[in-house]
Amino acid sequence: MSLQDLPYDIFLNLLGLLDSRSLLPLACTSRALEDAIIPEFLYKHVYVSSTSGRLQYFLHCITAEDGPPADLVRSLDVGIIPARLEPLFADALARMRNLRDFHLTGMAYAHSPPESAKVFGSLSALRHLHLGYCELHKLREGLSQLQTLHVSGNHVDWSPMISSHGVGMILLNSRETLIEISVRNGINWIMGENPSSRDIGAGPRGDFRHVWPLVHTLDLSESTLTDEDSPVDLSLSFPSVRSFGAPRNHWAEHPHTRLFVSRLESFQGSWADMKNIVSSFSNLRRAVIQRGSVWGTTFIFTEYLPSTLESLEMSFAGGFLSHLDTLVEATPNLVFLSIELMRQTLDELFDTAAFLVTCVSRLPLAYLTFRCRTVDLRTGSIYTLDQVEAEWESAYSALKLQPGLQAVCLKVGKLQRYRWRKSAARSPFGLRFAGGAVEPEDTHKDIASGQVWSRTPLIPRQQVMYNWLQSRAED
Amino acid sequence: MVNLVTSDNESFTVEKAVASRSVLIKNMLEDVGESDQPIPLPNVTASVLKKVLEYCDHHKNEPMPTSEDLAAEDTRKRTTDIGEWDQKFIQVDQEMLFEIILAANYLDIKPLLDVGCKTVANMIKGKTPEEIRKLFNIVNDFTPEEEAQIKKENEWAEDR
Repeated sequence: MSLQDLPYDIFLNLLGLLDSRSLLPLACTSRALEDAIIPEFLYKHVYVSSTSGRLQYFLHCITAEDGPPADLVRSLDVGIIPARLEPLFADALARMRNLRDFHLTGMAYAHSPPESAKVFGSLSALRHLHLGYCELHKLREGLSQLQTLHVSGNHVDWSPMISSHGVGMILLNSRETLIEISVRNGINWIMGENPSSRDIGAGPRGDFRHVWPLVHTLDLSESTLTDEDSPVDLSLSFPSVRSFGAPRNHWAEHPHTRLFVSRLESFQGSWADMKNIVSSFSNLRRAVIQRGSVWGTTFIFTEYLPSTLESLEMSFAGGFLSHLDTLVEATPNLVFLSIELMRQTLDELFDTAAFLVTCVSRLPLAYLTFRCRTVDLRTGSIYTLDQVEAEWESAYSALKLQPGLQAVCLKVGKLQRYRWRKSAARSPFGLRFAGGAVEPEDTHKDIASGQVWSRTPLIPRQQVMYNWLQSRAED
Repeated sequence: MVNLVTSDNESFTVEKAVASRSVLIKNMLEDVGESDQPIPLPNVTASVLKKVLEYCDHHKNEPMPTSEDLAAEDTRKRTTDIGEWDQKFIQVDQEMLFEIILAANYLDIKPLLDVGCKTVANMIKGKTPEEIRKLFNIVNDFTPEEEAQIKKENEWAEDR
C-alpha cells in the first residue's frame, strides 16, 4: 500500500494540496507520477513570482517551439511584469488559448499601448480576471464572458474608468455573465458615461445598458461610483447583489436605494453609511464597518445596526465604547463580533474590559475578537498599568466561562494577548473556520455568511489551488 | 447501537452517533431503518476500523458537514493545517495511514479523508525526489539524463 495505489480521485485531491514547489520533486520521482503531474498540474495552474529570473525562464519555456504546449495553462498568476519582459509575456499570453483564470499584479511596458493589451481581447476562454495596477485602459478590444473581475488601484494616469475602453469596457461587455465585481482602492468608476463611441454599439440612454443581472458580489471599497449627471440606481444596475462593499462617495441618494439595500445580506462600509441606510436593511446578516470615530459622541448602536445581524466587524478610529450595552439591544442575534479600536487610555481600557464581559454574557456570541492597537499610557489615570492588566486577565477568565463562546482573541496594545478556542470548535450558521487551525483574529478572511469578503486578497498560491478545484468542478 | 462487521469478521458495536459519522453507514441506517442486523464492511479490516471509530467517537458531537459546507470548502483556500487532536490521531505508520485514507473514502467520512490527505501532503512537502522515493518506495524508472531534463524544463516551478 503506497502512494501509487491510491484511487485516482484521492490522488488528485492530494495533488491539490501541494504547490508547484512540492509537485516538481514529486513529478521527478517516476514516469507514472511525471505523466500525472506535469501536464495536469504543473502547467495547468501556474504561479511565478517575477522578482527573480524565473518568470523569464517560464516565459521562454512556454514560448519555445519544443516546450510544453501553452494551451495547457488554465490559470496564471504572475505578479509584476517588468517592461523588458512585456513583449515576451504578450507572446506567451497569446498562446494560452485555454486560460480561464488570470492574476496580474502589475505590468510595466516599454511601448504604449503595451503588447499584451493587444493580446487581451483574444483570450476567449478567460472567465476570472484579477488585475492590479495595470494600464489597461488602453485596451480597445474587450473581453466578454467574464464571471469574475477584480481591479484594484487606479490606472496610471488616474483617469476615470469609463465604459468606452479598458476595464470599463470589459465590465460592459461581460455584463451578462459577471457574477463578482470588485473595483477597489481609488478607482473612479463613471458608470453612466454615455457611449457616444461607436465601438460598443451604443443604444440610447434608458436602454438599461448598465445592468449586471447576475452579479451577487459588488465591492467598491475605497473607490467611487458615479453617474454622469444623476445618482446611480444600484437596484436597477445590480438587481442580484447580496454582498456589497460601499464606495467612498455618496452612493445612497437614488430613491430606489432602499430596494437595493433591502436585498443585502452582507455589507461593508462606513458608520455614516450605516446610519443613513439602517432602516432599509431587511436581510443583513453580516456587516463590516470601518471609518469613523466615536470621540465625544453618544454612540447608540441601535441607530446604526439592524437587528438581523449575525456577524459584525467594527473598527473605530478612537473613542470609548461607553454604550456597548446598546449593542445587545441592537443586535440580539449576534454570533460573531470583532471590535477594533485604534487607541484607548488606561482608564478607558479598564472600563472596556468589564463592559465586554457584560455585553458578551447577554449575546448569543460564539466568536469574539477585541483589539486595541495602542494604549495611551498618559499619567493622571485613575488606574495603574497593573490594575488594567489584572482587569483584562479576569475578563479573559470570565469570557472563557461563557457557555456559548467557541473562541476568544483579545489583544490590548503590546500589553496583553489572549487567545483561546474550544477544541474542534465549529461555528453555526455560515461562520466557519478552516480546518480548526484558524485563529479568531484571522476570521475576517474566512467567515462567509453570504460571500467571502477579504480585506487582503487570498495568497496567490492558495488561490491557484482553489482555482484548480474550481476549474475541476467546472470541467 | 449499531453493529458493524469487518472483512476479517470482527464485529464492533458502537453508538449510532459514532457510526453515523460515516455517510455510507448513515445512509444505510436511513434506508433500512433501525435493525439488529449487523452491517458488513467488506472493505475494512478490524485494525483499521478500530482506528476510524476512534476518530468518529472523538468527533461525534460535531455537526456534520453539510453539502453547502463542502461546496464552500472547494471554493475557499485550502490549507494543510490539521487540528491538534487529529494530528496526534494520525501519527501512525504509513501502511495504516493509507488504509485509513482508503477506509475514510469508502465509508465516506470527508473530514477524516481530508486529515489523511493533508498528512500525506505534509510528508511530501519540502522533500527532494530521492527522499520522496524512499518515503513511498517509488521505483525510479528515469535515466539520470531524463530526470535532469524534467527538472530543467520545469525549473521555474522551484521558485516558491
